[in-house]
Amino acid sequence: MRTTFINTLTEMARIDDKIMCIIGDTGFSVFEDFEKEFGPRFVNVGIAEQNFVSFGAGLAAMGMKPYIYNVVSFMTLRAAEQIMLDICYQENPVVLVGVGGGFAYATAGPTHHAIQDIAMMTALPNMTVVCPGDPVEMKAVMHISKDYGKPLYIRIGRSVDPVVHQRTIDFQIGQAIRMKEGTQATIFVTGVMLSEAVKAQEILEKRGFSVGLYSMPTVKPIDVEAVLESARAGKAIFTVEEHSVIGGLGDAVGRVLLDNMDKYPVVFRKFGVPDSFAPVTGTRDYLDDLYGLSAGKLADAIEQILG
Amino acid sequence: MYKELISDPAEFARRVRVDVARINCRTRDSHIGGGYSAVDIMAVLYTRILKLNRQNLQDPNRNIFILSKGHIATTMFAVLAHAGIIPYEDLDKHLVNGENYAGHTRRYTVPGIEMSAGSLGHGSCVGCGMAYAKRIQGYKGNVYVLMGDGECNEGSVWESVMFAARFKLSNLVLIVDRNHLQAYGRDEQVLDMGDLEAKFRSFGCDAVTINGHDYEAIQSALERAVSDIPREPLVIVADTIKGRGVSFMEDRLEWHFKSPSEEQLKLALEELGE
Repeated sequence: MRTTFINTLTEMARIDDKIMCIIGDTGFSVFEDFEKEFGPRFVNVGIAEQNFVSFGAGLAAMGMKPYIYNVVSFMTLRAAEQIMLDICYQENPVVLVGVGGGFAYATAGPTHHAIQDIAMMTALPNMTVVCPGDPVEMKAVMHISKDYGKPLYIRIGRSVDPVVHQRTIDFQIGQAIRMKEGTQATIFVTGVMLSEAVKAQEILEKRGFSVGLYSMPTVKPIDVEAVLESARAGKAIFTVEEHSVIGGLGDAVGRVLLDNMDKYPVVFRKFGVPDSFAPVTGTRDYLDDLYGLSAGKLADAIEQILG
Repeated sequence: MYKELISDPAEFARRVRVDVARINCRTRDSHIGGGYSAVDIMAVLYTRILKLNRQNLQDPNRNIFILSKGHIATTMFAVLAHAGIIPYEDLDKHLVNGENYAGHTRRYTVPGIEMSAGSLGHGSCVGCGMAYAKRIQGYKGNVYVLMGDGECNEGSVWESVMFAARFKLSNLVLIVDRNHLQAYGRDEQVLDMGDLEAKFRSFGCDAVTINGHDYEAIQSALERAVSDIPREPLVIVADTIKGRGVSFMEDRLEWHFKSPSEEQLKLALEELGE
């Protein structure tokens, strides 16, 4: 997705001379061509996340369209107040691109695990939160971001993530993307877990369960109608994300269900990272499996609930 | 009604001090000491340097004034009223329920407020972004950031100073209200920052220390800023006295927070020539 990000940004920057790319001393071998082509519209602020975020806000306040790119964990936690006060509070249309969402940097350890960022960013008024599930969704959100005109957080995974969507998609911020329809249950998945959720859905289908699948790149504003459509039909609802179970997609979907519990009481279970720091070292696949987020474990857990 | 902007910074500052004392006596919520230390600098900016009026507040070539020490909102609003940017009667709305004139300055709610402030260490960073954006878009005008000396405890200030020097943001002017008192004590007791001018110089800035209550000195220091040629940014360390202008407030920590009583207001107004 990082590759999609820089390629799309480069194309857009050729057309729109207000677009800028700001980095916080990260992205070696990614931005050199952009820097060469656009000169002062590329800025490396250094290892200084506070100034990195506020600098972006100042650029936006004076009419530029800054894309500020940094590692998720450092940007969203170290500079959380700058994001809240200089970007959100003042409605400065900065696009924050966070690389390394979830366990993208798994073996680097908990300092680099980004599993609180969705909670942090969705809590901020005026912020929109999008976690593209694959390069196709990433490209789509990039094109919308240019003239979005509001603070926008885009959470991406690694440099290269698998392409999941084999067809063109109708991508709108705030709308879930229907991938499979099912009569018994619906899985809502966000971000880099998309390919794993697709596999889990396939396993369940083979085992005779009719389970729908929606990619839900936008966590805020949540697609209320997509959730209610499943709830109205009495389907069980599952959420899948590489993020803490506190404050992520699961809670966003859960709030919609809670508000409508009197009308549509449904079975609901969220799959995510429990409230903990990873207890051991491991690759992304290892940690996902440890927390029950691998396709096999997701399918087993959902099968058990559906009986 | 809008006031006519007067040209004499001394009289401008005097009128602002009078209004701030009256307002704070009413609101019982104050940062009067830090307002009085900064008001002479603001008076020179608004009467002689910024050239702001109600018509050019959206002009990208305008000078930009960022109040980073947003807690002196009362003083800022009085300055804007005497600069003819907000109606004078709006000062009565300060800290009134349902109105927009809060205890810290907030962008969009009051004309002439360029940045929402309240948490320290933001103004110089946002100022870097505005100055950089002005430069690459070819806009004229400088970005002036007024911050407190206590504010320089914040690491983000130094992140932005390194950045401004590296990118030669000569259209950025940082002004430090060096009144030597922060919220809980003397600067030197809290965290001794030593020679601030030397510190800013060592970070790559052009720095100068002046008497922050000498209007001519303030003006000539501000006029050192040359925005057209990329070079080191200017930092003005303005030596000031907290509570300056009213003897019983001067250089006293409690007047960081205190508001004048009716009796104190009378004494203050007398000293201020009202």
